[in-house]
Amino acid sequence: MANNRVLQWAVMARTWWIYDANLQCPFRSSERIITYLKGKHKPIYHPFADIGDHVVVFNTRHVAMRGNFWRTFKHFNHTRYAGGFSQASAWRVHEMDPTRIMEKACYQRLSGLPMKKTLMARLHLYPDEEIPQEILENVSGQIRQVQVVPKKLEDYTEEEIQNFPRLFEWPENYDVESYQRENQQEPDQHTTKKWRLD
Amino acid sequence: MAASLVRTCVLTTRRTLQFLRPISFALQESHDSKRSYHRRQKGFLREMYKKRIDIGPDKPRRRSEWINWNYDCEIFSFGQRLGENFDEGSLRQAFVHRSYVEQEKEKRAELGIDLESVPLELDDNSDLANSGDKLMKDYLKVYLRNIYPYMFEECISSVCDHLMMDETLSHIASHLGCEDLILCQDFPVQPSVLSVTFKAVVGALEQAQGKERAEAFVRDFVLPQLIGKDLNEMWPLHNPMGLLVALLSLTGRGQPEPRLLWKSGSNTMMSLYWVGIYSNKQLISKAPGETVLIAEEMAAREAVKKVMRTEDNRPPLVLGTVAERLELDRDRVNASAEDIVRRHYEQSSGQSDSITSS
Amino acid sequence: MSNNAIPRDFVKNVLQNGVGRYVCQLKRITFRFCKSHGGSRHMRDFIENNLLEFTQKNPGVVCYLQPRRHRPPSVVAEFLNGRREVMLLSGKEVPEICKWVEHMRTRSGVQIVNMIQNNHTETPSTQGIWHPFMFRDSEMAATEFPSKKFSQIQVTGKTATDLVLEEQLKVSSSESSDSHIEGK
Repeated sequence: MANNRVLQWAVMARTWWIYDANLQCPFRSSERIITYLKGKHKPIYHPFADIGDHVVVFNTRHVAMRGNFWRTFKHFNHTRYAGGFSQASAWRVHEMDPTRIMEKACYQRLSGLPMKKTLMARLHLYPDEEIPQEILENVSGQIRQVQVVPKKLEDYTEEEIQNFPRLFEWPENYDVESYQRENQQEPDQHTTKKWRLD
Repeated sequence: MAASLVRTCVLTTRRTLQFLRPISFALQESHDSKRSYHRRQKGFLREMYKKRIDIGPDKPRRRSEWINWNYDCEIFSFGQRLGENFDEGSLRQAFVHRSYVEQEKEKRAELGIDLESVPLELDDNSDLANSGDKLMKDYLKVYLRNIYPYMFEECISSVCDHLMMDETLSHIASHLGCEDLILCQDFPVQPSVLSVTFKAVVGALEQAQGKERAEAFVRDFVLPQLIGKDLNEMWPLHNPMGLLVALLSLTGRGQPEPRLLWKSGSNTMMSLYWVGIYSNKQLISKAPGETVLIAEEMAAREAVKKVMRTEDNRPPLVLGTVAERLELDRDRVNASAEDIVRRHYEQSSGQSDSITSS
Repeated sequence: MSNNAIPRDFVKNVLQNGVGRYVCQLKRITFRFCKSHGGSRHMRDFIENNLLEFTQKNPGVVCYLQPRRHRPPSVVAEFLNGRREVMLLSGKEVPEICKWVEHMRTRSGVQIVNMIQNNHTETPSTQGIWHPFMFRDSEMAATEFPSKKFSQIQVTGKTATDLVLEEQLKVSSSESSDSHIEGK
C-alpha cells in the first residue's frame, strides 16, 4: 500500500533540468527544451498525460542568432484594435527584454497544444548566471548544449597566440592594418539611407 | 354551390369518423395492445407504480424458498463440484449453524414438545469448525514457512491471520455456493456464519478423506487469495530500521548508513528523494519517498524485504498440480524478529557493561 | 474504446479459479418448458434424449425441470458468483439448445461485456517500472548544477585548428627526436 504509493510517486515525479543558453541558437535549443517540457524524454509519455519536467534556462542574454537574424527576424504584435499592428527586430526585443527571444522561440514551437500555458509556466528563464538559490536547489540534471561554444580570440592567452604555428606569410606590400576592426567604418555609415535603421 | 356541397360532404365524413373512433379504439385494444396509446390506462398504471414503491422492496428470500430446490441434490452436487467425496452425514452437519439449532429448539419448546423425550437429532457445526480451523492454521503456517524459509515468524502469523479473517473465508465460501446450503437463523447470511461454515466443510473433508485431501483443499482455495496481495503490508512493522540494525549486527556486517542517492524538486510540493542504505559501503537497498524521512523508512523496509526474500519480484506461490509433489517439513520453525532484536540488545548492553566496568 | 456509453470491463476470474483447481462455475440449471405447447417441442426432445448425458457428465450441476403451462421454453443458469442468466430457447432446435447449455456450463458467470484487454496479470513487471533516475549516471548525483561537464556538447570530429595543432606536435616531436639522434 505505502510501497505502491511511493513507487508511483517516483515514476510520476517531475524533475528539474538546467540549460546554459550561452552562445546557443535559441530555435535549435527550444527544440530540445520543448522535448523535456512535454515529457517526450520519458518512456511513460502520453499526449494526454501531464508528465513534463521543469527547465531552467540561464544566460539567455548571451544567446546567438545566425546570419542576419538579429536584424531581419521580426517579432509581430497586434492589439486587435485598428492600427494595432507593430513589429520589432530581434535585437530591439532583446534590448528591451533579454529573455523574450528564448521565451518566444519555445512558445512558438509549442503550436497546437492545449497544455501550452501550463508547459510555459514550467519554463524558467534567467538572462545571466544569477539564478535564485531555491530554484537552483531543485535542479537534478543538465541538458546538453546544441552548438559548440567557440573559443573567442579574447579567451586565448598571449602565449598560445604566439606559439600557434604560422601557416603562411603575408606578401610584403600587403596592407594588414586596413582589415583591423578599429579601422573599419560602421555598416550603416557608408550609406546615405540613414533612416533605414531596422 | 359546388364548394358548399364539398363542405357539407367533409362535415358529414368528419362526424362519421368521430362516431367511429371509440369503436376503432376498442378494436385496436383487443387486437394489439402494444401499439396504441393507453390514454385511460396511463393514470391507473401510474397509481399502481406509486403503490408498489410505497410498499417497499421485496424481502430477501433464501434460495430454498423458491420452487426449484432439492436439498439432497444440492448437497451431493456441492461435493462433486469441488471434486471431493464427502461423507454426506458430516457434510450436512457442516452446514447446520448453532443459531439454527437454537431456533429449532425454541420452536419445539413453543409447540410444547419436550426436548428430553424427543431429542433434537441436530448437531451444529462448531466441532467440525474447530477441527477445520486448527488444520487450516497449522497447514497455512507449515506451507508459508517452507515456501518462504527466510520469512520471520511474526510475518508468517500475520499472513496466516489475514487469510483466516472472516472477510476472506466468507468471500471464498460464498463463491463456492455455501450460502444457499447454510441452515441458520437470519438471512442474509452473515460473514461470520459463512467463515464458520467453511471451516466446518474443511473439518468434514478431513473426517471423510483424511488430512492430506483437506490440506490440498486449503491449498487450492485459501492460498490463491494471496495472489496480487502485498505480504509485507500484512505485517505491521513499526521500526524497520531498528530490526535492520539488530540483523546486521548479529550477522557481523556493518551498521546501516542511509545516504541520499537522488533528489529532485526539493523546494517544491512534488519533491522526490531516493535514499539508499549502505552496510560496509555496499548498497543493500534503496527506495523513493516524498520526503527524506519517508524515503529512509521505505529503504529500511525494502532491506527487511530483501532479507525475508519477499520483494516484489519474488517467484510466484507453488500452487496447483505442481504443489501436489511438494514435500513440506512440518517441524520447521523460522527465525523470529523479536528474538533477533532482543539478542542484539542483550549483546550491546553486555558490551556497554563491559566498557563501564573496565 | 473511449465511449463510456458502451459497457466494457477488464477480464475477471472468479475466486482465482484454475490457479488451485478448476471448479465448474455453473451450480444449477433450470429447464422451463410447457408440456403440451408446440413451442416447447425441441426442449422436450432435448430433455428426453440429451439431458441424462449432460447430468451424468456434470454431477456438480444441479438440474431442475420446471414445466410451466402456456409459457415459452427457457433455461435459467445460476452461477457461483451469485449471478443468474436466463436464455430464451423458443424456436431453437435441439443442437442449438445443446450448444447453449454447453455455453452456460463453460462460463465464468461474469456479465458478458466488451473486453478492454483479453489478458490480466497481477505482476506486470519483474524488473521494476521505469523511474527518472533508473539509467542516470550516478556522477550526476554528486555534481553541483550548472556544470560545464554535463553542459558541453560532445564533439565527435576534429576541427581544422585541432589538425593544425596536431601537425605542430608531430613536427616538434620529430625535431626533438632528430636533435636527440644528432646529440647522440
